[in-house]
Amino acid sequence: MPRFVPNRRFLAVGRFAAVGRSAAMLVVASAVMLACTEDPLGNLDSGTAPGVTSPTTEFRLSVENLPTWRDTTVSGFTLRSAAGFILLADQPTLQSRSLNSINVPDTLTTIADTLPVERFESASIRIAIDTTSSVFATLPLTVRLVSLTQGFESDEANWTQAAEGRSWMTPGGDLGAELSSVEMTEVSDSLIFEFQVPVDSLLKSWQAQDGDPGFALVLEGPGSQILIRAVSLRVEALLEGREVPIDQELISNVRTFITNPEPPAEGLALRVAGLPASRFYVTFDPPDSLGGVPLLGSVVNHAELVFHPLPPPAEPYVMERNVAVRPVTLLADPFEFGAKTPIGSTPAAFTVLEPDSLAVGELFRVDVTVLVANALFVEADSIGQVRVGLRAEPDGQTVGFWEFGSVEAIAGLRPELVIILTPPPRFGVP
Amino acid sequence: MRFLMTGPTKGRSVRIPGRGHPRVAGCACAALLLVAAPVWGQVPATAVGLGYPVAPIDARAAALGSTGIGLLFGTYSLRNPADLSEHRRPGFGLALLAEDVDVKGGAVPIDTGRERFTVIRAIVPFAGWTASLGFGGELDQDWSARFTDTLVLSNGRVPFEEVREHDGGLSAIDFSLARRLGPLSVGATAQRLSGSLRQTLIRRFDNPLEGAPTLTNAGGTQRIRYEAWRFKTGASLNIAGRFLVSGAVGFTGDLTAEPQDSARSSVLFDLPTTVELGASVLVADSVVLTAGGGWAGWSSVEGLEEFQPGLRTHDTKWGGVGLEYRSARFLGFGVPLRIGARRAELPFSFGDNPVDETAFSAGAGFVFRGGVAELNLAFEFGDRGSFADDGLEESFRRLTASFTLRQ
Repeated sequence: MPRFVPNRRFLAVGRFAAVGRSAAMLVVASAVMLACTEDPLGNLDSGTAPGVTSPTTEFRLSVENLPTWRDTTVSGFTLRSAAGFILLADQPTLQSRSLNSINVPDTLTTIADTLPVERFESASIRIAIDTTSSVFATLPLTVRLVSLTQGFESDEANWTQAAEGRSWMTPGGDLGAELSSVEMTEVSDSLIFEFQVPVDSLLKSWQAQDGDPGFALVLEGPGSQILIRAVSLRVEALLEGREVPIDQELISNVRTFITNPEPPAEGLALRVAGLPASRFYVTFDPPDSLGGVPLLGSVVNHAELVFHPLPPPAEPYVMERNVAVRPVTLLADPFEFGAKTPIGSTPAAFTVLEPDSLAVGELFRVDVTVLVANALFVEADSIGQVRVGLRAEPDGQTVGFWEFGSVEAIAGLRPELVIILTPPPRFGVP
Repeated sequence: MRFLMTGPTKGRSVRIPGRGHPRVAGCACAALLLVAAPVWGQVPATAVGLGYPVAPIDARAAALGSTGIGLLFGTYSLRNPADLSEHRRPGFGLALLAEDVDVKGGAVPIDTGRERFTVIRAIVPFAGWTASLGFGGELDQDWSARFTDTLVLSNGRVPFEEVREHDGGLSAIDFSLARRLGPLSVGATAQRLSGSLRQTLIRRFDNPLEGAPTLTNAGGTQRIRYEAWRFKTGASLNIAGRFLVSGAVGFTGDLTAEPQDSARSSVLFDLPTTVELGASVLVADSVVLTAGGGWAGWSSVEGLEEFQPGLRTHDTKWGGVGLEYRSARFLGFGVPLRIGARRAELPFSFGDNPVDETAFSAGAGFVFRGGVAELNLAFEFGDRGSFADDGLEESFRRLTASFTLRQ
């Protein structure tokens, strides 16, 4: 079997190759060792590092110093008739009653078909109470179901009037006969009150008059207030042609609550939350430059509006719980379109307003970085207007509200614009 | 080709005295940070003026005191086109330099590294002429500084990391032609100086502390294109293959620095005229003694102080000597051994005088198959500048490696 024997020439080439490889590896290893120098800790900082930098600077302006600034409160986005709760109160500072109307239908719909009601076997009004948001100052307390002697308009009724231009005979609603009452002797996590109501007289009357004139819920429990999440009429009805009665629950779809005193009217302050729900809208033009730094071309690291809380509103309209407030872009001029101003996206996260913090003067900061940055790109050589609205998220969750100083407020309570800005670095050549 | 300075995560606050809360008409400003100091702390040589001048020499020249002119047995350095006549066979060579640098001037030196090609060259002799096409380093402007600091706001603090980086430099595309006229050679060079620089500032804000808001990152970048022409002419005299003396003079036009994507107009820098001389002598058939030097009129460069306050430009001189022993062998291969020393001046400083650079060098070659292939290494150890006098100070350890092939 032939055996490979290297000749001298092959050995020389092999040695050459071996040495060449070694030399090449030496060079590469040396170069890599030097090229990949470790970078140990140095002692550089902004002042000592070489090269061009650009200062990041915080500017704080009272808004009356902006080229333009306008602010306003707009109310009525959620009325009491559309709120997610009904408030009953029997307190020295607040009296509140619920007005309801249930249109009892002539027919009822089952899974199979819709049939006329031959007769109602029984009926009851049910209310679900949110005990965590209620105040039970004294026990027992009583909730009375009282018929109204005068109908009401749910969007217009208040403590003194049943509808626009139509006053109650007695402030607080024209109460008639008591239909039923429930006494509450202890508090539990979930409370549902059920009022038995007469079938023949009342339901037929509501059926005939589309629910008018309705009924009121009145709380008797000094110092207490309860929050009702739902009011419904539960009926047991026998349908024509059927032998077995059915149960159905009819929701009170015409409802509101009236209070004494009424919420104070909006003034010059900026109001958020409450019922009717209030928002406030602001528009402003950012300045062309700050401290000699032109905004155009600069990076807006952060921009925020700072609102100073005013003292708490008079009882009982202090915001009773934390409210999330989020900024929204305004797609049109709010001073032209008012409450109908279309709103757009949310440019920043919501802020939770806490009544306790606001009461001690904690500032309400609204991040408008995106809006200010976008305003710099509206046109090539000019800065656009910033429009932003502040609304509770969602509207209509609290009777109370909070107000903040507007541009008409005294110095120190006016809104401020904070901009943190970095101008473009002014590189040299080289 | 990167200079990286990394600062520690110190998390300390910076509050510049006298800069807090300046008043601006109509607004209250809390301006708290960070303006570049007119005189920096630790400055790398590549960040000063137009950058660090790169000698377009190979490793053999680097080991011999960075002479590279008037070298017997040929060089791939770009100093004198007339030296091309020392090459009798076509060849190709390239040289890579790696440098480990301590940037001084602060409490703690910053250790960093740089790498660059110094020369790449192809040489073709024909009918008494020799032509070459090459690439040479000219100015190195690479550096990068990275550090952490803290922005102090009226309602909290925001840590940030900042990167300041210059990436680029200037190189020469070199076309040279030499004519041998007996012992005398003459040559001429046309060099197109071309390059670019990207200047970058990036400030990345971290999560805010103590109630400060979240901040958007900031920064910017600028690109600069460089262009210029240089013409060189030179002559050399080779006496019996044992003594070579060589000289060249170079004339450089205006360097146009044109910012890209910027409203800033172009800037012209009047690059210097250069004069370079060198000689070498073969002693006892195996020892080459060489010396070289030069002058460059860098003081003609004006206008840099506008961009770097306090910067001065100076005419510069350089000189070096070297000794080569060519008869050493290892494993059957020729291993020439070299030592050298040099002193040079850098043209840009923050002082009244040019920055001095001194270095000692040593190196060796590995000659394969009678010179068909050759690997040369050069090690240098040196210092440049004095922080007190010049505003910059570095010590360096440098390895130059070149590889050549001849037909």
